[in-house]
Amino acid sequence: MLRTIQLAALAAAAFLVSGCVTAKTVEFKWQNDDRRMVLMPTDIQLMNMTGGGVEVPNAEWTAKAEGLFLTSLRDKLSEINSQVIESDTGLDQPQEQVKLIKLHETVGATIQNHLPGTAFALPTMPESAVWTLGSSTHALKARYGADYALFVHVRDSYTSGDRAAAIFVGALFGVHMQGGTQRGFASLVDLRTGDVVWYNRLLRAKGDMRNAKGARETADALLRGFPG
Amino acid sequence: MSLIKSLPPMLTAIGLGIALSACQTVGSKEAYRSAFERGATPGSQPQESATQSINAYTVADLKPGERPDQASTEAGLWMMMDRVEADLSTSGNRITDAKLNTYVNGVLCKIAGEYCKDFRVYIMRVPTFNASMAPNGTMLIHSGFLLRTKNEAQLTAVVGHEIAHYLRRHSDQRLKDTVDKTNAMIFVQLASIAAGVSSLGNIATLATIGSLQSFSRDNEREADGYGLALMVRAGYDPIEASKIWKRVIRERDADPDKKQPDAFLATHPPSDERNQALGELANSVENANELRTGEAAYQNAIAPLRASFMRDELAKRKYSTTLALFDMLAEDGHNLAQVHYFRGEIYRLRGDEGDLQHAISAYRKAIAEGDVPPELYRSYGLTLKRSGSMEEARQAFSMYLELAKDAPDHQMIQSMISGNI
Repeated sequence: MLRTIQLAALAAAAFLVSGCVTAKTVEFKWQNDDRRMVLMPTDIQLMNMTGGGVEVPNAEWTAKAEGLFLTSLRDKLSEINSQVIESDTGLDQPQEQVKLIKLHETVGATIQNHLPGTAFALPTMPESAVWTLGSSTHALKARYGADYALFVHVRDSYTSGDRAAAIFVGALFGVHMQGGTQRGFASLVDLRTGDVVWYNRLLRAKGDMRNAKGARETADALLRGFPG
Repeated sequence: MSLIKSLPPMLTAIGLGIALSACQTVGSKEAYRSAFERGATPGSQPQESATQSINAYTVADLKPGERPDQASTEAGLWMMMDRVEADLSTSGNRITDAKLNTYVNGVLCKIAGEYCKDFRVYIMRVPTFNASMAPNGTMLIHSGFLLRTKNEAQLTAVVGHEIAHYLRRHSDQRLKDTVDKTNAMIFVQLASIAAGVSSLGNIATLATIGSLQSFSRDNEREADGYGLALMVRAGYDPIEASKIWKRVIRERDADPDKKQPDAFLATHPPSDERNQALGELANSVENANELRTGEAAYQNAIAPLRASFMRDELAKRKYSTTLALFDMLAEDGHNLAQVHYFRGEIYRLRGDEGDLQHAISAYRKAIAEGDVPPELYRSYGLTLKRSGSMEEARQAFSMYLELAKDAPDHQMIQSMISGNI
């Protein structure tokens, strides 16, 4: 068990050292008058990491972070993209949209795990290959009259007092234990083809979306390298 | 430093104590009975449970329409499950047949009473005996479960069990239990390293896992007893609850690869224990035999989809257990033509010694019952052909082509009739 913890910690540390990596899946530039982009409902969840390492989802933090992060995201996007269209949220969402958000969670996580140049890159996948959500994105293009959509997925856990104590005691005896982490990814998708034309991931042991400043910092980090 | 040196063994002892104490549950029968008594008044305030491990996290039942406080861990669970539910609602495996959904929701409301509006049912196309309840009232029912239950009373027994998980807030109790026990475990592990006996840390890990699963079994016992009370309150014969487990046991006993469930790691109590405990409780209910089973209504409701459920069972290629299941359905006696057709399919696909003859005799039984699907004649023809009865096979194939005029395999079957294949 302890060996597992140590191995997991090592693996996590290896990931964390790489910090946030920007993966421009293809070289992408906006065409001048072609910047209508729909912002998909953000998929965010904040968790509290207990002493024993269980990540307990926290509804209060999540609700707060959703508001703060969305504001930051809108501010940031308005600086670089003037035609952001808001999507339907909650129960108003069409089924196709819910399915695409689900699909993006899977595709985005796959890109994250197999990013070119990282330990788990797919050896037979050429660098020119393009990740795609497929032609089902046409439904979104028709609904919102937009050519692009931005999908965002963030899972953020925070070290509790118990966990901090465990990490401290562990360090005394040479055992490394992982604290809270911020994992997430954002994808810009061309709704005409479904292709992911820009992608970035976050994987780090910092960031705090529970306050306005931290939420803005997370939005900046997630959108680093976003085509301006 | 001397303080730290002397601390670890003490911490180890305390940690092990915490981790192990929850394993000491009372006699399991009492766990069922006390939950049964309590279930007579759903929505009640916390009171001592017969099961000590559950007492550690005693909570009041959720009230109808109640939502957890936003700052609680329970609200976190609800948030997570709200997302899972959004995913489920668009799942390709979901059975959206309006009539079946209306029926199951109606049954749920009969037993849930004033809690009716707190639940959403998702019937999923999965050929296993299972149903589950999420903390936010999302209820999953597998198609394999609907195929295996005989009547409305058996459906309510399981729906009642799942409602009990919701009302008693078992997910939140389990989360709190997991957090506390893993907290204790991590410090025991650290302490044992510090003390230089890391094997103690491994014992603590095992004790924690065993204790978590024991807590889960206690929850299941409580849900069984509580669900039984809800069932009786709604006017269903409680003896049907134990009959479900008899059916499960029969199917399990037919499994050549069956493994003894691990008493230490199992999340649920053994089926034999549930069968016995629920049967005894049901026998203590006065005039229970005057309560209803609702067999006709139930069978009518699942009839339009039953063939598809049975086909999914066949696709599992677990012939021994599926045969035991279909034999039980034959004993139930509903749409025997269909049951015998699918029994024939098992024998035809399995193809063991003597199976050709078994298949032929099952198809004949089906034909004798009347109103068989056209595909029966194709299977019957193939089986006859394989056993060398070409003339009879031709007749069966002709019958198939006559009944299924637009069959995509029309030409191939025609070739078989002319003896080219």
